[in-house]
Amino acid sequence: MRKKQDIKFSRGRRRFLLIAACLFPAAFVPMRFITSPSWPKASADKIKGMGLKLLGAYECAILYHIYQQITLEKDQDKIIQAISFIDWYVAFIGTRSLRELKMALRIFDSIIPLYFGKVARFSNLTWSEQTHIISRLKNGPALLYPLFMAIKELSYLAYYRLPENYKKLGYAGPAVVEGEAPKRYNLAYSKLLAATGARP
Amino acid sequence: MIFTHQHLRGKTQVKGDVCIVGSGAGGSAAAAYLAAQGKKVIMLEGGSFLMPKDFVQKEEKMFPQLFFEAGGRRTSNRAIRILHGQGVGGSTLHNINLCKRAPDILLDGWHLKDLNAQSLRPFYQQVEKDLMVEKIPEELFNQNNLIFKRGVEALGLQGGGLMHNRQGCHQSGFCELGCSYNAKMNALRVYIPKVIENGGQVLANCRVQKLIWREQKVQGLLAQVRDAESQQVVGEVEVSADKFILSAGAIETPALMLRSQLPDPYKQIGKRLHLHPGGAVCALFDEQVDFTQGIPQSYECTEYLSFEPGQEDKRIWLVGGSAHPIGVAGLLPAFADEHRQLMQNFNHIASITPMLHDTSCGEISIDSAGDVIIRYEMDQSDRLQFKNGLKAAARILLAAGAKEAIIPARQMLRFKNPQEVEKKSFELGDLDLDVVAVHPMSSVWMGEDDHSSCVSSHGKYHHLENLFVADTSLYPTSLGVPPQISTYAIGAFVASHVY
Repeated sequence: MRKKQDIKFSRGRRRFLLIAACLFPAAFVPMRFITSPSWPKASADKIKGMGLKLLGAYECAILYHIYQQITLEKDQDKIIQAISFIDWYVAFIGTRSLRELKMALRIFDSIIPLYFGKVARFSNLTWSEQTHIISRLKNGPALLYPLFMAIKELSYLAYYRLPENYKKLGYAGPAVVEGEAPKRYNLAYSKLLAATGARP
Repeated sequence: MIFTHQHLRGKTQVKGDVCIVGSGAGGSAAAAYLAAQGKKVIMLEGGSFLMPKDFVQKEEKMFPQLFFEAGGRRTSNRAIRILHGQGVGGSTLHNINLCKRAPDILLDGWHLKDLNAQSLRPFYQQVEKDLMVEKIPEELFNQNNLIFKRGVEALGLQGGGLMHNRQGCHQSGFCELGCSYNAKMNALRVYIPKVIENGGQVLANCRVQKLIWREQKVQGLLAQVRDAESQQVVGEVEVSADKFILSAGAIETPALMLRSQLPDPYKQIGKRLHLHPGGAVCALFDEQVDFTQGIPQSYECTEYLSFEPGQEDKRIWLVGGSAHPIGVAGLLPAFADEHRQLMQNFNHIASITPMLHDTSCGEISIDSAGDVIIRYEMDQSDRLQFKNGLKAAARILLAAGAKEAIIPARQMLRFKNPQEVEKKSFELGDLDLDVVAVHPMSSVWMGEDDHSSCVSSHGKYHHLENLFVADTSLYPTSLGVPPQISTYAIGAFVASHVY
């Protein structure tokens, strides 16, 4: 006999899949073309002009809003720097994870508000509406939660990479200064490295 | 010598006696053994060659260097995060140096023809000597481990100090981000130099795409060279050799075998994956818990772990956690103000990790693009064990004087006293808790029968003449203890049977 929490999970999943299946063609596609994601005007040009490598401007616009909600960062330049950092970082997460992240951002913008009864893009909602939706994700369908967690992890990765943020926690940060490692530790390894231009 | 993406642009052809894929514990021990026998060893490593100066103690810079997919790799249902290492030295670059032999009863219980506790003992002894394995004295424990010990002793549980392979440790607490002080006696420091000294070559930034085989023999392999920074493909390497050893870990080894479409008549490759799933239980203390002073993971609790027959309900090993801000921030379930408030306690949070000696079996497969798919779900027995492990960790932390113990699940579970731990009933669904697995294993397991195993007890692949496996993939069961030292030992053991 299956345990109670499994049954709950299955119901939640079924409900989510059913709603997603109905909403996707009905709402996602037209929304994609009729409305566009919004971002603070002052930031739009900066984001577009920052030379994105892997994330598109659309994904960055959504990320802008979620990052702000998660970290409560107010400084637009710092948010843009964080997004630029995330764009660099995702080069390392693998093609599959990158695909999933992009999809997660799009679902976040188009599907999640609908699930919680808002007929609008996440990026077009007011601050308090956005906060309300993220809060409710904790109790929402199990399948939505990992989407949020993936974006949340990246957001805090970008946020707590900055000394000004981690020092507030009483965390001193690295004990070594980048680029100033004592030579004695590296000497033996330098000898292992083939000379410039050498071939195996 | 070690060659990197900067040396390997364009097309490169290399020939050797033995080609080893992966340079972690198993691969490096095997390579050192064979190079010492006079064989020309070629090692390929997907990650970069990092020196102590490159370990800059910053999570955001080290995750992409040290972990596959920057540490974000997950099971297909996204329930378990899998951290497995890359870089010349593999997972031994980032591990916390725990050296704990697999118990004899487990090794003998595998009922293998040639590999058992007795046959593996000399290899354990040699590896422990090479890596200078020593018990960590209590005065070097970090505060988190002292709290952990206090809790274990207050409850009268079984526990003790751990053995590590480190020399000249600065006790900075950044071990899981690589060692800036060259204190880890790991594959990079101990075995790779021996390989090179004996004429071996290490090709870094080379991700092996495919083994080329015909007439029951592997003829060669093809690898892509990727630029370490941009991850763009900048070259191709083709290696031919008499023997091939796969030591790319229990995720990448079976993935490579599947991509290469090796003969596998009984469809065994990739099955039977074990992960040692681990959770985290945090607790708030009045005292400061500084993770940057002292050695992490220096103490263990073995009260809930047994390998004896009839004690299958004791499959939890408890060890201290390790924490830096980004890791902690990602773990905590809240966001915004609530998250900020929790993070304000950063220097007062202690943590314990329950690690499950799992019996659930997962599977590694690949998609049409050759990307890895990891399927794994804990069965009911493992779920119950895991939950008990979380509760045990919470009890220990409270016994050590915590104001509050927290299981950072989707709905945060908070306990003010041991009675609450006992009384509060909770169920954890697959996606309710951030489960982390750092020891994938058993995906290409040993056995004598080619119908029910992948490789022999010498590590030779059943269906090809010159292909061996020497990494954590080999273990027929979950190991129940950190696999580092066993993997070095088995790497050398397999190498001793290659010729």
